[in-house]
Amino acid sequence: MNQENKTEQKELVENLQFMRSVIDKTSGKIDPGWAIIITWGLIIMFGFPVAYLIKIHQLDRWKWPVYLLLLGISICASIYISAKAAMRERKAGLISKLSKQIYLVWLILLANGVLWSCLGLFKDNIGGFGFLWAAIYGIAFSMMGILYSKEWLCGGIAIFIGIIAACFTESYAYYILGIVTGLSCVIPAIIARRNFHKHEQENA
Amino acid sequence: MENEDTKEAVNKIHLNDKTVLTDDIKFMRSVIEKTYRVIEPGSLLFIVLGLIFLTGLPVTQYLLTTPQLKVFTQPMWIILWVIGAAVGIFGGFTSEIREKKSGHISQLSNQIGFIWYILLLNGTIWAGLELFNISFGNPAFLWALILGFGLSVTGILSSKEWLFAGVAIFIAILAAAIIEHYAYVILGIVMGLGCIIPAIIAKRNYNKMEKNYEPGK
Repeated sequence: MNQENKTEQKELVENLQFMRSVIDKTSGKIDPGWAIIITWGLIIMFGFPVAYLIKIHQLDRWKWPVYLLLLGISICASIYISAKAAMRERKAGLISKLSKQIYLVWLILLANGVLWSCLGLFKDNIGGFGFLWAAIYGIAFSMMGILYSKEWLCGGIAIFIGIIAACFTESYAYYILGIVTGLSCVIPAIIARRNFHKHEQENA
Repeated sequence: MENEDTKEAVNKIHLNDKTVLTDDIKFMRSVIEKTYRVIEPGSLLFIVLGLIFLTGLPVTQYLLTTPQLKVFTQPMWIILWVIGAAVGIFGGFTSEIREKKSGHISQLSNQIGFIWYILLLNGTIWAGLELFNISFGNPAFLWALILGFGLSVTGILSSKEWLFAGVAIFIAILAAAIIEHYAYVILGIVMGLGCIIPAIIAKRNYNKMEKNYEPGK
């Protein structure tokens, strides 16, 4: 009997969560985290060509300081912006299931990227991790496009095409990946932010 | 007198509202129950994929370490992929027919389908372009990564047993990278069981739900 009640309650919670996610999606209440993605986009646009120059000019002593600096800026910006967004959500009394799902997807993908880069797995033909990171961003944006809104899916497809193009032009590979991945972060983030603002103004 | 009439009218409206609200909730509930009932975990495909990994990867390890048998690696994987693709197409086709027959196309199963489609497309292109060829110069690690992502995201969206399988595959990649001599054996066992065990659990849960489902209640 107790077990049955528990199962019923679980089902009820799942139903409510599902309804909530549908409502979240239709009412456009989810903040897309545009500031983090724009920051990452700009860092990628700058970081990929720098990583390539370090590699071809064999400036090995600059490698780790530059990577750590870029990673440090990105992580600090992400933590600060995420904390602010979480506070805003709590203040509004809304904990969105969809934004939690998107957050978990990013967490898993980024944890993989960091781990494989540190361990030196999945090196590309150039000997770096540019392709791995572009692939991780491509998959993440595609998933955001499927779960949240279509502009991100376009970003994911652009990165996918960028990877194929970069494969055939090895000497420009990291420049292509940097520009495509960077713009695929920045442009959908701006569109998503504009849509979010529009929704907020309409619902005010 | 007029006040009493107004009160009665207001009460009637509230009563009507409540009925409408209850009906709405009942309707939503039925749609949700139907959605939950209809999502079929695609167990057959995952069990077949699991068996392919479970046998294919350890055999690959053996073939690669035996110079005179190395040439058989590629033909073996072509046959295994053809079997996997045939079962995948057949499984997808029959589940779509079943969904259409029940008059309901679930948003969640559509999303999961799209995610797998994108991941498999990415994996195929990267394997074809020979990106990320590590260890033995073979894309097994890449496919482990793709499978790990797919199972993790299915776990986030659908049910947790898939997420555990995804995490197990990431740990297996790590172990395989360190213990290179048994890399394919480790990947094969973990990828295989990572597909089969959650598929059996999901199928059992689905069957249980189907058994307990009473239309209209």
